[in-house]
Amino acid sequence: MKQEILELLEDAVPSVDFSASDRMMDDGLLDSLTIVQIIGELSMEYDVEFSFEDLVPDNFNSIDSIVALVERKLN
Amino acid sequence: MVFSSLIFLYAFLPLCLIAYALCHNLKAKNICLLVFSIIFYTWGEPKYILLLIAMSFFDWLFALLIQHTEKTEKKKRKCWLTLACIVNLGLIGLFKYGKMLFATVGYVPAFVENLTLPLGISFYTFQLLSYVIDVYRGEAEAQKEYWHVLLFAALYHQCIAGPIVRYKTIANELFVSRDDKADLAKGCFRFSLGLAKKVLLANTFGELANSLLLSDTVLSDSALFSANNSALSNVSVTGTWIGLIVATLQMYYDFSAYSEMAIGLGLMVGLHYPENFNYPYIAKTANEYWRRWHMTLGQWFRDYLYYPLTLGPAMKIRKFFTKKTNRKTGMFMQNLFTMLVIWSCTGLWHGAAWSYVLWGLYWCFFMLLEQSFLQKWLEKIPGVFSHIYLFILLMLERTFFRFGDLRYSLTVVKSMFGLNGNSFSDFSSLTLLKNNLFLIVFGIIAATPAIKLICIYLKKKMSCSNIGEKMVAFVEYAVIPVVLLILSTGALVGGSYNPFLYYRF
Amino acid sequence: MQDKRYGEFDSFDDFLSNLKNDLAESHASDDALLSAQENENTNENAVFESESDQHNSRADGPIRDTRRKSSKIKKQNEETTEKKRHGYRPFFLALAVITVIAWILPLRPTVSISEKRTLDEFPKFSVGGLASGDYFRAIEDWFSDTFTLRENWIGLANRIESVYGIRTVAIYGDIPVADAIPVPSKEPSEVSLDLPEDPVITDPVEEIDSPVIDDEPIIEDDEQWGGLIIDEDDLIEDRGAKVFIGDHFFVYPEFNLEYANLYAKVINKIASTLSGKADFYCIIAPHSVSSMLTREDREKYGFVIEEDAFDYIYGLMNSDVKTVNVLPNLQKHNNEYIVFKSDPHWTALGAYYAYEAWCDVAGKTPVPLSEYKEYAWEDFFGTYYYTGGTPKSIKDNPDIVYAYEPPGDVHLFMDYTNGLKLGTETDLLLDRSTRKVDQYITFLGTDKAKATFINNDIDDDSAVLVLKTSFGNPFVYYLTQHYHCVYVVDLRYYNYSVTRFMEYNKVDDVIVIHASDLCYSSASYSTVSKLLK
Repeated sequence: MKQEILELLEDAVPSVDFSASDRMMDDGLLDSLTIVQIIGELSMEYDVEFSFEDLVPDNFNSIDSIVALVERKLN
Repeated sequence: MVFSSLIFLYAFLPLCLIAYALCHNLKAKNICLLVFSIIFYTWGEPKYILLLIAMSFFDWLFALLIQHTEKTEKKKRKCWLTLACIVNLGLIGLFKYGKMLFATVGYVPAFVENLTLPLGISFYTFQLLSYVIDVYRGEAEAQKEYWHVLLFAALYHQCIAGPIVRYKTIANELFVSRDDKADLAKGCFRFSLGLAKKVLLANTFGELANSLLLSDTVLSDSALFSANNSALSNVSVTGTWIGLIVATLQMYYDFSAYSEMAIGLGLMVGLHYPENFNYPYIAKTANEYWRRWHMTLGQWFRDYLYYPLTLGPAMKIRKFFTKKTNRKTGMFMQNLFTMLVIWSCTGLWHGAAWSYVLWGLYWCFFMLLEQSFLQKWLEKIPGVFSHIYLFILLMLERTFFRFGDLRYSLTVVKSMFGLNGNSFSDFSSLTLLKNNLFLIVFGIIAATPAIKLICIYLKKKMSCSNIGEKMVAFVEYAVIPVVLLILSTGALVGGSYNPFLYYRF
Repeated sequence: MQDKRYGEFDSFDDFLSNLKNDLAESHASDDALLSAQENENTNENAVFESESDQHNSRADGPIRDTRRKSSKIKKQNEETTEKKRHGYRPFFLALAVITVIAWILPLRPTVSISEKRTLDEFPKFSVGGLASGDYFRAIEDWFSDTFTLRENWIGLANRIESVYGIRTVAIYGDIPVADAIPVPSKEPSEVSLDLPEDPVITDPVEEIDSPVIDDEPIIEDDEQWGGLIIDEDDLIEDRGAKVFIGDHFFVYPEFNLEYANLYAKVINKIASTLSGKADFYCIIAPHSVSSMLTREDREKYGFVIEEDAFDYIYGLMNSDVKTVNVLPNLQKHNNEYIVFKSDPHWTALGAYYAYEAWCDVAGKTPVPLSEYKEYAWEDFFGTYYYTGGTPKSIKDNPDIVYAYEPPGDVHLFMDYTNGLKLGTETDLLLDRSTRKVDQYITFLGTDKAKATFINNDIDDDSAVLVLKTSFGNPFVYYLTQHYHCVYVVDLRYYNYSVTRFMEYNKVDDVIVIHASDLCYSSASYSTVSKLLK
């Protein structure tokens, strides 16, 4: 799944290198609007729902945490 | 009481500043601000001060409840938030939109009929909502003291007419620590600038627009309909265009002046409010325009409406349409839905009438047009055409929304092109134009950053020498604020015309 | 700010990322505005670095450089902040000074001479007023209206307005929309108009030839008036817009068809009531502009053409009404000082020419003005001067009120009960030599009393009743030479009808004289119709 998600995100937001850092949101690589984009893609692809509370660094700082978030949502 | 009045300048403000200067700690200063804010509000609207106090009380309570509910009890937290929203939106819904909603249904109960619009309700409701939502989202700590919340909502600088200051922006400076001397001089400068904008520019343009295209009072009198309509059809082409142009200028100067004065007053006590206007008339598209006009409102809607919408209902719509048709349509519908909701709300925020919703949708329509193809076209042609495009949008906007009645607007549209049998120009319109020519030209130039850029350039040049530097400081802090204050005072004494366009909030 | 392309909806993500960029940019522009301020600060800092310091800091190594720079910058920041700390002083000083002056209560004016009204008073307290907010609003009104040094501030406001644009010809106020004047149904009167070739727009003040009168000087008697008479109802109403051309203010005449018809009806009715009992004259005084500008100029500037208006209205009147069209005679003499520059009224000289026109219709011989004693009340600044931006041309050369005292054994009595009594005797013309704004009051003094002129040189019981508004004030003086008794009542304030008055007093002729505005408003209609009761 990590690979799927990575490809999906790299397609959606080509300007961001998702493997570059473990602190993407904290470092400002991802801001809330980019995250909304990402959520949009994830939401469509996996048919899950997100809420505003999900927009936190814990969930978006690294590609791994994003994957974890999606998995949580799917269960 | 409005900022641009003699009683504010020479009674309220001096007293407030003196009292504030006598306070030695933050708590005393805030109490001072609160007391004066209550006085300011009660002076303008005695009966609705209780509403402000009540709404602040509820939001203080709900924020504390949210804060004290464990993060794990999501449902309970959401419940408190929902209750807070119901109370806030319910109150503003009743007091501001009650008449409109009941009138649409057909029956208006007596107590609703007698309601008047509480002063500043659109501003302080949004500020309080931002407080509760920020606490809910964990971006701010709930205030333990009720009077802190009340101060945040009622602070006279921005309670009545903006900018909309969100809690997390101002919380630190308001309640923790601020340096109230650092920008005192800058505050004086900005306040005097705003004052002059309102009194010398906005008011004059307003009178001019009224002379050429009838005043609000006259237009809203239905008994005068045929007289008004015939007057509007007799205005010459020149008169119509000049009237619309100065009405547009008035709108900008009136509202931006008030924000400017609020920012200046804030700086005088060490509070930094966000800018609300960024030379909107130099925009090249409607989208850009709304990123420069009433920016705090746009940011509020983005943070508190756009995100929840995009993540929630809009996403559902996207999924629905993507399944039914394709990805492209899905995304289009998601955007359309979000835009329609946000712009209807923006329109509705500005006034309690369906015509305001139409106004919001008017802008939304052009923004969608730009997003789909118009923007690309505009970028292919020289920039001047984009400015002409925006100019047309602004003229149409004034034509359809200044007059309060669509029939008037249609008459004015015809007058714009001489289709009412009106002449191209007439003595009174030309004379009024000549009489105010320099002011109008100045007003147009000052609506662009040109003057500011020239000043910055001059400042840089002068700052090369010590004397030049001293001169700059002298002009900036001694000459300009004092001269503008004196000129504005003269105009205030001389005129009785001092309405405030956005006072309906 | 460069707008990015939003593209098709394939790139909704693009849209979002572009939106993000643009929002960041708009924030950035705020930041740019803020950082521009900071740049200004840095530049200000740079100024403190002398040239030698700059040279040194380049030569030195990085560490020492930074240290020196940081302390220098700290010092510069402190100095700049110091400057900023004091920067508020001028503004607050100005604010404080004006506040203190504003609150020296005794200095606040209670009456505005130029506006001829009492200014708003401090409101009375009431709980209801407090709850509704009216009390506070009234306090605000009082505070603004009676602001200390009000006249000076208004003068400043006028100076400011004068630079807004090109104001050689300026419009003040809103121009009323007038009805179109229908073509009169009757044949127009045959008075031929000998209009001068080049009617002058600005008229130089010409001295009237009058022999030096060596009467005893007029005794100043202000006591019965209590000094300044400031009364709302005595106001010369500032209705409609004004145009300032050259050095003259002109008001826009009105025309309203419906009320014009009503007016004619009422006049006809009065005339019928008087038919056989008294001769009834109707004199409508035109606006200054109609006398002073050519018809072409008036059409060009959009003024109602009063020649046509009078033709129409007079055309509606029946044979019992002796209409007097004074406009031709006024136009004939418009190179003389017949109207004021800063006031809507005609001068006493203008009234004289109206009187000549009346004499023509009444079959009387006008008594030459040379037989009258002339007074000149100088420095008359009329209403329009103040509400029209205090133009320099009038300031340098203001109006003069010339007043003409009738020859002969003429006495004036004022009945302040405004009823049927004779009243107390008073001076024929009020001494206005020390006045600055209301010299026009020299004629009759007040409109709220019934005035009676008695001319003992006329040894019969001839009497005329004049129903007038303010234009009639200088006019009535000339009638003293033709009647033993001239009764003067104001249309607006007198409560007895014509018939009632004539039950008590013998009257041979009745004259109605007023400005043309009276024909066109509902208030005036009810005023005039009151006389029918």
